Amino acid sequence: MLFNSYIYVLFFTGVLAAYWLLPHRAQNRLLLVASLVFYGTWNWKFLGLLFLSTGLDYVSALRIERGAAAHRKKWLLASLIGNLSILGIFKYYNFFAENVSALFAALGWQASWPLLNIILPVGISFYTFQTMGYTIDVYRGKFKAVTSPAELALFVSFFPQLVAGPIERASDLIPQIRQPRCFNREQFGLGFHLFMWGLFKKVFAADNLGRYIDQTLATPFDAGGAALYWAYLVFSVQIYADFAGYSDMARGTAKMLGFELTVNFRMPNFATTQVNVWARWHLTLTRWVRDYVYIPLGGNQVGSARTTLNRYISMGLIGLWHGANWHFLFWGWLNATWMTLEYAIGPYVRRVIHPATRAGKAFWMLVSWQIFQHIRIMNNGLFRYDNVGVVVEHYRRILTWEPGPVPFTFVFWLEKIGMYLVPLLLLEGYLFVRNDAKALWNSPWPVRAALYFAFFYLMTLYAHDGAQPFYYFQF
Amino acid sequence: MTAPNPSTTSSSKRKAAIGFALAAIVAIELLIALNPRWVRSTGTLSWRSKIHWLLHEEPPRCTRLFMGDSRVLGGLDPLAFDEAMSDGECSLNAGLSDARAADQYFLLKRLIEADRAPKTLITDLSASALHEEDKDLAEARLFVELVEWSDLPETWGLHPVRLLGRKAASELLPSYHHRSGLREVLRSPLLPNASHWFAQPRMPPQSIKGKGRQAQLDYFEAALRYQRGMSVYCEGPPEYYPPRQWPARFSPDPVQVHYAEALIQLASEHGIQLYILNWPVSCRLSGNGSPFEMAHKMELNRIGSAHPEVVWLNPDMKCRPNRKFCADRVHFAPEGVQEWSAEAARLFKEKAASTTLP
Repeated sequence: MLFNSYIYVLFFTGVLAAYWLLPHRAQNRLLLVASLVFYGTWNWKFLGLLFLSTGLDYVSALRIERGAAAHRKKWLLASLIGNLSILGIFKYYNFFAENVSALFAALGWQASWPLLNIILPVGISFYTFQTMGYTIDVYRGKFKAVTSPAELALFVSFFPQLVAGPIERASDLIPQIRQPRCFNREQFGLGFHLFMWGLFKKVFAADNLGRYIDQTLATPFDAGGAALYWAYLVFSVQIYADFAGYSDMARGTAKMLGFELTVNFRMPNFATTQVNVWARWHLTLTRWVRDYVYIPLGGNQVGSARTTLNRYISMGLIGLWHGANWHFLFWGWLNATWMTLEYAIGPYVRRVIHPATRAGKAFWMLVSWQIFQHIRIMNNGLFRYDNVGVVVEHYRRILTWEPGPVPFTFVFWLEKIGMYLVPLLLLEGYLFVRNDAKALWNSPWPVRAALYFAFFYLMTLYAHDGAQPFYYFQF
Repeated sequence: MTAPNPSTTSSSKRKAAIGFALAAIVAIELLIALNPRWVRSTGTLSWRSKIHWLLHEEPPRCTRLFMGDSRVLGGLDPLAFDEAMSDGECSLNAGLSDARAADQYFLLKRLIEADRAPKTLITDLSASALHEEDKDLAEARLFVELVEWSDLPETWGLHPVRLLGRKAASELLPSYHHRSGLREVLRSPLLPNASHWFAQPRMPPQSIKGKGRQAQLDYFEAALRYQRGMSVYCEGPPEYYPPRQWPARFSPDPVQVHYAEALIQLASEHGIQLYILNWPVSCRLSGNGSPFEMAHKMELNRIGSAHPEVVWLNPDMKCRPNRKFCADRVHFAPEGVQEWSAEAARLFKEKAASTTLP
């Protein structure tokens, strides 16, 4: 069930209508049942995995809290091994088996590991990380183990964020599950506004831009430098609009139910440095990796060589989280390389370039924005393609601006790209300049009336026919 | 004097924003509902104009009907076909761009209900009509225009909620119903020539009388009648036609296969003699005899073996070096249309002689 489908509108309307008529305990029960139905519509067989992960962490967390000190670590390990095994079997096993077989073949040994013919359960990377985070927090004494299995089950399966995040912390979501929730018109309105804003990003911008991307990038050796450059740029906006659109819809849905989910994006299209990109993109994942991997490894408190290594481990993990493939690992490492370069060269650059005037500062900000956005755009080649050779060839064509068989006209740009790209970037730019994610909500009423009117007609007239799946569902 | 309560002020302003937006939306929707002709798409490619023309405007005098996707729409010329047949019968092209088996089934159903059932139906169950892809795109067209509420019980098990959602949206929102026409209205000041890239009537452009949208609309509607439903495609800027990548494997969509069989059944029940054209898929990528093509043919054979009443027309259209006359290229080669139509007529004549028509 996709957020951008008619069936979700029916499902959510039904849940919402019943939800606000019920008392608190019944609300939670309804949400749990609705979440299981929501997940079951993808593939009911994978509900077992959800129960397994929940059950494992329920028992582990209680044992960690109540057990003897000597056993606490064992239960933590049991939880981590259990969750990582689920993830490993369903997401990484075939990658591992293929590479081991290839390694053996390279060494001249005839050994072929059997491959599993299984599909990736939707949302598995999101909910396993969420449950692991909960158990680690209990182990660290930052959060008390949940005694009600239904409460923990709702935390793991809460449908607005189950299949594509945000990856919530127990300390953020569980207190909200426990707290009675009252209907608040302001919060409900803001939730609806957020949902529509996310829907606009997804069905107007991401889906339509995706059509152009798919046409150009489906035949990777047919396009010239200009077409590829635009395709890369548009792809970068497309995945942002797709994923951030989902996150906004998730937050909007939760808000209408009286919950606050964590912000997952802070306008990464306007990041001015590589480090800043990662402070704005998929925040709940980067925060998870920072708190549970990077800092425990020593973070940046362990000398420059170890810090760099920690950075590569963390970014490599972020890359592999997206999928079991070398290109995701390289994508993570490429990002780590740019960060390392920024840390190494940044201070020298700032020593040389230190504009005194506001205009000078704005100019260098603009230059920095362009440089790092182009780095981000180009990095995404490794995100899209599982063949590094294709990406290298694309870089060559873009850098040499190789003439391609596809000529590029303004009319084409306007009709296929510009009309979907420009409104989104203008609105995002407005939010960025106002430095307020709720600036549209808080704008004067005539502006907001015009915006709602425009959103309605842009989506009615230009939404892609049929509900397109979200890009991040494959992770 | 008390200071204004900020939350009340904010709430009333919020209500004003929503109220004004809603009022403007209702006004626009009423305007569209009262002037549907203004937003009707002008392009002969427009499936909406064509369906309306077939079901409500075209007098039911033609007894032969061609159905299929754009390969039929742009590839089978009723005038050339009738000339080659010289049997005094009249043909009509009911091809719809991107039509799949389901579209063809519901179009025939609606034609039968409107007392416009043909005596002979020539259809093209191409790979695109049966392959498992772009399902939603085809359904969006089909559901909104061709499916009636009375079809719900029949379609419920195949595509329930999407059908209901699209149908409801289309009935409730005139702007959604006429979205292709509205897009054209909005696009025309910026890109006045855009529609010409997609479709070009064969009727001379000198027939346009007057200027503006109304004249253009009259011209396109006249062209639809003049060409008996056919459009000649015109190849526009190449970026609009990126090389299509057929998937490695043809995998039949069970829903479309169901409708293909239902189409055969419906034609049979109403005494309509059905001919299925078996054209090659594509020369550019798969070529004749490719695994994709062979798999599609196998599916057609499977359908055919279950329905011996269907007559198959298998044109011998080999790929040529200039790639002009492949099924997927015929849209862009007006000179190829004559050849295709003559070849289809030759085969039809041959088969019709050995087929007992009801």
